[in-house]
Amino acid sequence: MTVVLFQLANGLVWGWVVALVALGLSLIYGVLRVINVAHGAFYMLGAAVGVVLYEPLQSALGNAPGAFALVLVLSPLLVGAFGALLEATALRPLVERGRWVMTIVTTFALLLILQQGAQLLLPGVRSVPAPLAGGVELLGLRYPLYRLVLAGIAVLLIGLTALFLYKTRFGLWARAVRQDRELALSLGIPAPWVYSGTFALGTALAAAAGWLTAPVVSVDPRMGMDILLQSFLVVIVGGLGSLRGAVVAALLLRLAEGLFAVGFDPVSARALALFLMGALLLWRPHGLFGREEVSS
Amino acid sequence: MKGFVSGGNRSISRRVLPLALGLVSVIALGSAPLWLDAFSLSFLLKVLIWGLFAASFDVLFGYAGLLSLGHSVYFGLGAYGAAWMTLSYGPEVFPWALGAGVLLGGLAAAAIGALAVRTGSHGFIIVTAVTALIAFLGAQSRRDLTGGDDGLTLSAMPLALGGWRAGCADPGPAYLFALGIVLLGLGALGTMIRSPLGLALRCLRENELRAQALGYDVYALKWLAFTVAGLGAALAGALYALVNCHVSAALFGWLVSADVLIWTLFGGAGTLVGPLVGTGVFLSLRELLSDLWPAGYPVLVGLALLGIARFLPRGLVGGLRTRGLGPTRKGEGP
Amino acid sequence: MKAAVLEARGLRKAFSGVRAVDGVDLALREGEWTALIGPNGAGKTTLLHLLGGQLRPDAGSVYFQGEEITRRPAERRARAGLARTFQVPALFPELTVREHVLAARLRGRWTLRPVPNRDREAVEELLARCRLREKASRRAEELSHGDRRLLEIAVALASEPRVLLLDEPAAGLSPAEVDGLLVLLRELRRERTSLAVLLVEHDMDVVFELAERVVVMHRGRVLAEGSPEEVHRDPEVQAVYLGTREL
Repeated sequence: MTVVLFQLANGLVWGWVVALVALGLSLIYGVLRVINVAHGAFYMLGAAVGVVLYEPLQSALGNAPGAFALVLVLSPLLVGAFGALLEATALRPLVERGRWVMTIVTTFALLLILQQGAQLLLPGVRSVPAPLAGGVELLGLRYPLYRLVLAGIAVLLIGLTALFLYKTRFGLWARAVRQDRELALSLGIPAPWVYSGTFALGTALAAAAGWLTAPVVSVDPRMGMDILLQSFLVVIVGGLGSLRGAVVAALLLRLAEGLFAVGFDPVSARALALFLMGALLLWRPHGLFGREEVSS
Repeated sequence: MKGFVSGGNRSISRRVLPLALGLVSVIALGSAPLWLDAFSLSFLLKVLIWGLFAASFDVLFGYAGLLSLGHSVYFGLGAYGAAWMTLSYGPEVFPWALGAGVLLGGLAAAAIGALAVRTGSHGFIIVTAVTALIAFLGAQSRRDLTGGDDGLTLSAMPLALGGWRAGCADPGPAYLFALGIVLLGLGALGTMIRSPLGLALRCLRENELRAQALGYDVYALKWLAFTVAGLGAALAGALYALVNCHVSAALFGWLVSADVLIWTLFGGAGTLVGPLVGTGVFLSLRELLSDLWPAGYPVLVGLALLGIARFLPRGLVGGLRTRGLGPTRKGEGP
Repeated sequence: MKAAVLEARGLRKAFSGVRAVDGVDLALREGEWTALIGPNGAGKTTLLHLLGGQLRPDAGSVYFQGEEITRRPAERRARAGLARTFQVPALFPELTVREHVLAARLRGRWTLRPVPNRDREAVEELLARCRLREKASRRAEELSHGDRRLLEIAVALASEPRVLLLDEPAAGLSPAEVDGLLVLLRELRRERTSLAVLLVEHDMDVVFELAERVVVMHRGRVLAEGSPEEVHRDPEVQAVYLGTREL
């Protein structure tokens, strides 16, 4: 029973992390129509930048949780700004000319450059100690406190993003471009701002997730691949462009994997969860919340 | 050479010239062991094998207009299929190993293609990326089967022509064997592209809705293109394993999928000769760079991709072909 | 009266609440040219999409040669002999004119065998017929608007259809080009006597010259139906149609 509970709790925690990463991916796709293949690299970058900043900040502040929280603000800001810069220089000319295939080629190129760049600058595997020790007693199960905090922050960030999209002018613009780009542009919505802002937001969310999970996983240049796989999967199973669908599918994927992990080894559990997602996609090729593209 | 597309009242030279050029290249390639040293011959063979891989990718990308980010999966499966067969039954069974690799890669492409083409044009790209990630992470986690990054080492094919023996560093007669297979594969792809099926794929690339209104079954055609491309990639992969005597999980990696994309884009998608040229150019570059700065190669590929996406979207061959012929088409994609 | 080749019964289609096609019955008979007219937004193009299989109806059914095809995908309708043109010439930009006609002639067949000589000859003949012979090796993106319209019709004819749906073939053409189009359509009418044609057109000269029967649509419904003269005299048609657009 405790095993089941433990796996379910793990599934839930990771489900929210994947949802956070996938939310950024889905947002970028919805507004720019760009499939950001480099999204996992921004997640990795969030953790790598965090590793670089954490040590000096910790000795300066003398307080691990405080330094950790400060990095949680700084790393996404830096990565988001970097993302906006890349968007403005490499992607926007292609987006504006409608060279859709080339936008994907470009993000693919960014993936290679960022991943290999990290390999050159920060080789090897690093680990970050959890800023909060201790555990929580839950129905006879002792669960690490930090993981609960991690899930809580992920939920909070998803909620804040939703608020941002529905309560601010920028959010209104972004949703307008998402609905009907031509119409939105003809209404005078400043497209460059919306594109850069959305890309910055999406990559910053990935970076936040990267730093949040740094104490739970090991930080290395390849760490973004697994999360990219999962977020791609949930974005498409949830229905391309559907933010709600991505979150639902993320929880579904990780909870299913957690349940499978009760009876199987981790690799088989992952394989089974992937098969489940594949079956869902066969059943609904356009995703759980997706709409079929209108063909005329 | 039944080029129906060029039929009608074109001049004779337009038909004879490619034929003559092809004949000269085949003779030059066939006689290469006579005038090349072992190292150059081995390099030329690599270009040919990876060129077949690029050509198979171009059937999917350049002709059918489908961008796959996971074409390395079928190359890798072809290579491992051949490697496992060789390791289980010895290097004597190499023709069977070749078949096993093609079968494994082809079956995987048929199965994954059936799912990928149903998810729409944007979904297709994501599904191919997901399969690439699954294959890579799977190959990394099952080191018992794949050998992980270290890989598996095979013995050379027991081919000999008199005293001329095939080895791993010096392909020898294996070059002729592989050359024959590559030409066969390229010939099959070329025949397909020049047939009504090739025309159907190009219709699909240009305008899916219209192709459908003319009676073309979009899903079936996309699936066929995906499967044929997968078979070609698997053939190249199986040959690679047998000639190179070594396979590793890196064959499933991003870099291989990025490589084939850059070779095709650089040479010019939708030309079949273009990808071969691109492969030659980039493999030479990698060879040059491998002494100076090996870790820099992926970064270079990334930068080259960025530059081509921005400034040369139709590639070298395609760019030269359409130079000064009015505006380029607005969006390459759906 | 000849049997209907293509028949629509009670077709309905709504787009987010707006009823574009709202219960339309229509029958196209062998050898008969029917014009479909109506003000902009009457639902003419949507009806064509429903007949061609580009859209699925919310209700109602479509019959082709007595068989129900309501749920059949567009490519199977095309192979059965239902051809159509598009209002905005929807072509293959990088393919040559000859390749367009050939692709249509093959009717969705994709083999590895070379094209039979019979088909190649038919393609050349059709190119000459549609005054596209000199431009046969040009890419579609290089053609003028008028030539694209001609190519649309050549492509639709190449499959030797039983039913032809023409969506505003004269739109955007100069008077001289319209005359050229009329010559082509007149020939077609004279020679392919069993072809059933549905012609959506705003140019009333074209309609009156070619159509034996006129169907008037308004707000998704059939308002009137009959010979061109009958429809012209219909007071309801005059009220709705002439109010917005001159006949």
